[in-house]
Amino acid sequence: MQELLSEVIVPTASYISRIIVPMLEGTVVTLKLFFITIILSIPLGVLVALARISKYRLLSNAVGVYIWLLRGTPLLLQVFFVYYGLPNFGIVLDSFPAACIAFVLNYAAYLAEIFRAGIQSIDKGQYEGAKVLGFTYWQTMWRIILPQTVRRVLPPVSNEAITLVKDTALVYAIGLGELLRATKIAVSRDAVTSPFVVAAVFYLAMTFLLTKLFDKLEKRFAIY
Amino acid sequence: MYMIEARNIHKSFDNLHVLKGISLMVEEGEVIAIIGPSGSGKSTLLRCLIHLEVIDRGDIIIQGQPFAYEAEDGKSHYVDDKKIREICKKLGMVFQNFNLFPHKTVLENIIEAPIVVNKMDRKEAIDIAEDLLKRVGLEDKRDNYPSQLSGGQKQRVAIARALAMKPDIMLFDEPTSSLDPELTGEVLKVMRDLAEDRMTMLVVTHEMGFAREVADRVIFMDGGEIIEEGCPNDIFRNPSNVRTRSFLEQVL
Repeated sequence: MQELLSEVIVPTASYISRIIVPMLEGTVVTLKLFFITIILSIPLGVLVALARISKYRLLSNAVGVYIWLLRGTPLLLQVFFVYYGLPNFGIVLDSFPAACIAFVLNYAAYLAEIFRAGIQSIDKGQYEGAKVLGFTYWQTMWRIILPQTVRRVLPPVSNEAITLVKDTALVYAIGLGELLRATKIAVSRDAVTSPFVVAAVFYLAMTFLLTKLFDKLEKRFAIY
Repeated sequence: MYMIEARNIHKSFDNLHVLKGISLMVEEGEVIAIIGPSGSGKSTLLRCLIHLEVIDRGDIIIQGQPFAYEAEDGKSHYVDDKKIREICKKLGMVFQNFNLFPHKTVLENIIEAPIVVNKMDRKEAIDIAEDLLKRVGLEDKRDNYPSQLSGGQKQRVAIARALAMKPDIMLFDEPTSSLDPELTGEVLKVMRDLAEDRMTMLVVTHEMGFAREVADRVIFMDGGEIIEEGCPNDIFRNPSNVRTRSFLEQVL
């Protein structure tokens, strides 16, 4: 009896060896979604932030509506919309690209607000210092303001990255075989809950590595 | 040809009329000290000359090139952005708060504008920067970050950074006001050297000693107007206006 109970919660080595391959395959999907989202949403977020603070009202307002929509509705709803809703407009996507599009658009909106706050926290003397040296607006942004913004936004961006690791589990809902789905399949098939523990360890390992990476980045940018 | 011709400049911030018809002619090699109580518009005047503020009325001509002119509608109009940048390149500016780029080393602060704005070769820019650092006595700080410098050192780097663009006119906006008293001397010395090299300089300052010894002309401003101007001897020994006299009594 005792043996059976522990088997349900704490996985044995032999059981782990049976489920490890599908769970690793799920992790690959999770990581793919994570990296695609990070790599595309950061530059998009910078552009959206710059558009948001643009002096052109129309652009700034349009981007404001975009941020409101993407931050104001659930990410899962956005995933559903891209996957199930867009076919109504003649755009049919596989589940993985659909998930990527929803994630990139959603995360770019959040990151844009972080970047905007970072950009606006830079002293206006920096703009003036650059201007009297003859810098154009874009030269000022690119060479003077954005590099200083990086250091300030690292902690909140680290937060977003950790949230993203866990948000990837949402795509389970459109049938993508990521880590949580692989876990749930094992749980249902074998009538044990121990795969959840394995999955938790996987997620913790990923967020641990991310935290370490951001610590390193923060230290590297702390030289001035 | 005048280095700067400013005619009848007006500038308001919302309802606050900060400059009430300032006219100023600056000749080549002239060192002008602008003094006056805070809020008198001295800094705003400098900022207007280098396009950090936009004037409402009047004309500004830099080295014979108009960059703001009053049209028939009674408002000042500016030439296009590219032309403004071209004209403003002739002006260098030093701020009260230095405005050094904190993420760049001393050397990088100085070479940044020559490389990015003037497309200068990096090696040439470094040569120029090293000469300038020697001139302001900071050659050993070239690889430090601004946060590792004292206020006086920061301001000397800021002066070197402005000089790297080879300006014909230097504007100083209270360059020693945020420094500890014992550090003002090193900055004033650099400015003195610059004046001896016949740089055209406009200096907004509270350093009356500097104004008296270095300036060719002293301008006293109050309430957005030039109240009195003249050579330092006349202004300091024998001010004709009562407001000048009472200001000098307070600061001397």
